[in-house]
Amino acid sequence: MSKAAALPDQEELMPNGHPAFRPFLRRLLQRSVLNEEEQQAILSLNGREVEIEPHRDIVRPGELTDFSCLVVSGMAARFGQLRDGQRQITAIHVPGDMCDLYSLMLPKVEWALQALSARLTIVKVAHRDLLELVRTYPAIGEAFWRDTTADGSIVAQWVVSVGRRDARMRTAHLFCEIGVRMERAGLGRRTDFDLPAIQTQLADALGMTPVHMNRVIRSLRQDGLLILKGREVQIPDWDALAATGQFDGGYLEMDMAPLARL
Amino acid sequence: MCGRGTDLRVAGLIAMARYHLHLFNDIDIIDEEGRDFPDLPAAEVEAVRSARDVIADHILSGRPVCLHHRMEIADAGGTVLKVIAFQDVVRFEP
Repeated sequence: MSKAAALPDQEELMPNGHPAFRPFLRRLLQRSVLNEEEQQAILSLNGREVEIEPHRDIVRPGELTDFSCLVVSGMAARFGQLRDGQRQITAIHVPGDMCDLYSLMLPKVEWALQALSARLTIVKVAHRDLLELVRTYPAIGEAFWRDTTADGSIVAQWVVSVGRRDARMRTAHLFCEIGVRMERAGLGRRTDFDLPAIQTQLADALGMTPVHMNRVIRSLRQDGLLILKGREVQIPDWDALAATGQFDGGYLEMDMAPLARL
Repeated sequence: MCGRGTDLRVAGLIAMARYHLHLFNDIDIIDEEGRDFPDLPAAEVEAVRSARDVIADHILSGRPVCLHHRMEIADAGGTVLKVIAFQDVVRFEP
């Protein structure tokens, strides 16, 4: 049992739903059309708010879960791990992301979740509540499906990065992606945002050692493409960084007009 | 299952010490923050892995590898405990 789970959960059942579902709804509406009643049903959701300490695992590989985790603040990551402890982060989740919505359909998760940032706050939403929502409102089910498909699209792009982009391209690409996602989550601009991640874990996302990653970040800085000051990320020349990473945000599926209702 | 001893450390089962892994390459990276390792040999394993990672990128992108470039491991007080030259972590055979 990880200590994270032993932390006292703040049971906050709010009559009008937990406020954390507002950014989640906003994320869904970037890709799906939901009517007033459906939107209200999502906003009325409740969950248990939990603070996770850095490095802590929220869900461990092989664990059977009965909840999904909505990121309120900070960042969470999905990872795979080798026997010697080496980790590869396969997804980073920003506030407003329901980072393991897929566990609703496959509750025995093979992908563990960890806190990436110094302070991570999540809301644990009962699968029971989500299933009820999906069964009552098919359009919400479609929105969830679209959301997990978009997450899958990001994972596919990461495979391309780890397999084919060199260290410099890969780093440039990740910073561009997180910039766009933070901007769309309403947390800064793509050229200026806070990245509350720990460097070692950022290196785990890039498939590099932290030393090598820092060398790459320094070289990007020398070229005037990326400035990292503690947690603050500045991208002085977006087009140049995007060109370096061959970043085209289309795979994020965020800029499409929401599909008309079927 | 523990990631790099993290959970054991938090649980207080492994005493950790702070080491700084500096890189002296065509670009020098001074590790001001440092990282926690159980002991010096564990920090050395990571320093060797880091050096090889940097060397591999030089090779992949066709940049020269200088065998006298190095990693240095320093303790929290700044004393250099170990120097690992690039030539110590790669082997070429005819």
